[in-house]
Amino acid sequence: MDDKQPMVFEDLPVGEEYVDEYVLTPEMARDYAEGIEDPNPWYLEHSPFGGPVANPMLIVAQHARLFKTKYVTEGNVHTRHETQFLNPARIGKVIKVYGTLVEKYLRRGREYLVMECRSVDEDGIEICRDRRTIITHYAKRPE
Amino acid sequence: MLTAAEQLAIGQEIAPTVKQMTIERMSRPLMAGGNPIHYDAAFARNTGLPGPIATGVMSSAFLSEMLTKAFGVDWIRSGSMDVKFIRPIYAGDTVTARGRITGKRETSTGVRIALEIWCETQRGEPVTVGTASVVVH
Repeated sequence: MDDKQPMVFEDLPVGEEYVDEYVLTPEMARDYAEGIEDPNPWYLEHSPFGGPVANPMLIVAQHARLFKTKYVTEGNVHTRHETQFLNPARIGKVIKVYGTLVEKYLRRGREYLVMECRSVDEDGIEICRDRRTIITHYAKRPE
Repeated sequence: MLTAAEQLAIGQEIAPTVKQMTIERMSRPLMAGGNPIHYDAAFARNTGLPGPIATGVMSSAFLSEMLTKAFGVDWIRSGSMDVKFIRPIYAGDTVTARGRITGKRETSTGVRIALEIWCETQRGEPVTVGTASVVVH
């Protein structure tokens, strides 16, 4: 049974931490490559790193899952990301994702949340760091 | 094609990447993450949008593809980007990722290249704007 609650801006504590984990499968790499039409063989066959690696943006895109580990979310919109790529993510590895809500604010009737995230593989190799900003809903709050 | 650091000049544009956005690709689970604003027309209209919008990181992926083609493994190991999604991207839009070199500086580990990066649609509007940097060896 899923006991997650709807995400309510006022109730979100700054400093709250989130953790997620997934296996970086060849199927994910292929589906992502098809989704953005980037058939670079690095992501599917061989790369200069010694085997297939993930498209770096595939790893960043998975950071969006973090709020869903605790809340039911629907309709949020990503507005900004500041990302550092540090190492290739090798296909087949378990990727652990860590996030912290570092800021929240209201601006022009919209609710903004800022999360700092990092992805690390099962060997402890840090793949990327990301500071991402979202608005909880595109529609503005009632006056 | 990869370019050696000495061949890069401030003001130079790197080769663009052009993509056609489709609702089929926007709605894939890895893209949309289950968020109906990216594939459900009725949901999008209820939020005040004319239709589903692509997730912003799809445009970041187009920029990253362009930068991977330009800088290869250096982008994967040392790239950084700071981008804002300033306008929605809709199904049917043609999105062009572009970049221009704005700085070049010797460091202890290589030459740090700074860029202005953006995506624009066929309407000529920027939809994603920001900066990137990479250390070229």
